[in-house]
Amino acid sequence: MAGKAVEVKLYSCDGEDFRVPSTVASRSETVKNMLEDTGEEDAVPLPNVHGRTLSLVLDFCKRLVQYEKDLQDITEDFQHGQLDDEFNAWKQDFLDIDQAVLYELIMAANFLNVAELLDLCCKEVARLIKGKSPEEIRAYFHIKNDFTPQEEEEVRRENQWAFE
Amino acid sequence: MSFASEHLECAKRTQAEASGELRKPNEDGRGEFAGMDLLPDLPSHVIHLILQDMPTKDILKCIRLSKAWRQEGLLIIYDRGWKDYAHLKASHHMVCELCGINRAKQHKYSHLPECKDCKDIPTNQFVARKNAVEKYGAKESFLNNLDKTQHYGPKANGKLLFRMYRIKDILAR
Repeated sequence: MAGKAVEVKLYSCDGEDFRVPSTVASRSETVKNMLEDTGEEDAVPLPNVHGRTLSLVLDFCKRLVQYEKDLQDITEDFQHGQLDDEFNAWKQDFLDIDQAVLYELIMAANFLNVAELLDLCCKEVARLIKGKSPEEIRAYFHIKNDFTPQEEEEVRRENQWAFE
Repeated sequence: MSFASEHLECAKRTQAEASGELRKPNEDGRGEFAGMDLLPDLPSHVIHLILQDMPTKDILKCIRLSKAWRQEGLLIIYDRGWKDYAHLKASHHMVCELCGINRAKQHKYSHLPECKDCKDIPTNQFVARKNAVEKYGAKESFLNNLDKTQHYGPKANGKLLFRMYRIKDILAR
């Protein structure tokens, strides 16, 4: 008989509390390590993550756990594709967020070490970059241009052929 | 503002700048520090993750963004092998041998298996090899060597097409 899922408590940098099953929280390697160190009874402080972002991360982890559970339960091959389609559609909806939130999500996924989420967000950024000029990408993602004007000119010139 | 509070403000600001929290680019993207609308820098391994599945041509665009993006982009390009880069560059200046249209303009960014204007570029390896030998006088040993060393991307047909151009290019020298 399966035992009752243990719940753990996480709290964000702005003091928001989240109670989630440990199976969900442990999708974050960072949280998993903390739980192993301190035990599942203690609340886990996440000083680098805001509540609204942590909520998104946990939504993703819950859906990921559900997807993996569903995968184990399937009995027919065709169901595999169906589950993949459903999960992919869910991920598309999940990423329907503005650029600042996406950025926060990347930083949170990186800090919390949720590889699947980080990978998903990075792919989304790569998709958003496509078709944009370097200037547009910089403005869109607030990337600091730390080249000197001379360096920038040199970098531009060395690969000019690619943009003719 | 007293000296003490000014010092405290300054210390907070320095700490935030060091952690990248207060970085905001100007309109041209050149970095200045301001106190609003802020995004921290992405860690280098995250930049690497973003770039790793991009085509080389898009990475070439991204290495113009900043030093960190340049470093990660070049790492990936070098990791893929200089030939990938060299061939991308070479293909830009090539003209389709059958239709005479500048391939770069027609098929920019692509590793398409065939020219859209002349569908009969061989995509079969045997035909490719046969043509290389018969049309361009390539030697078997040269082709065998190419087989061992060349890698142009995930699509085998594109690989063959690039090989055809490459052979022509090398033999024309």
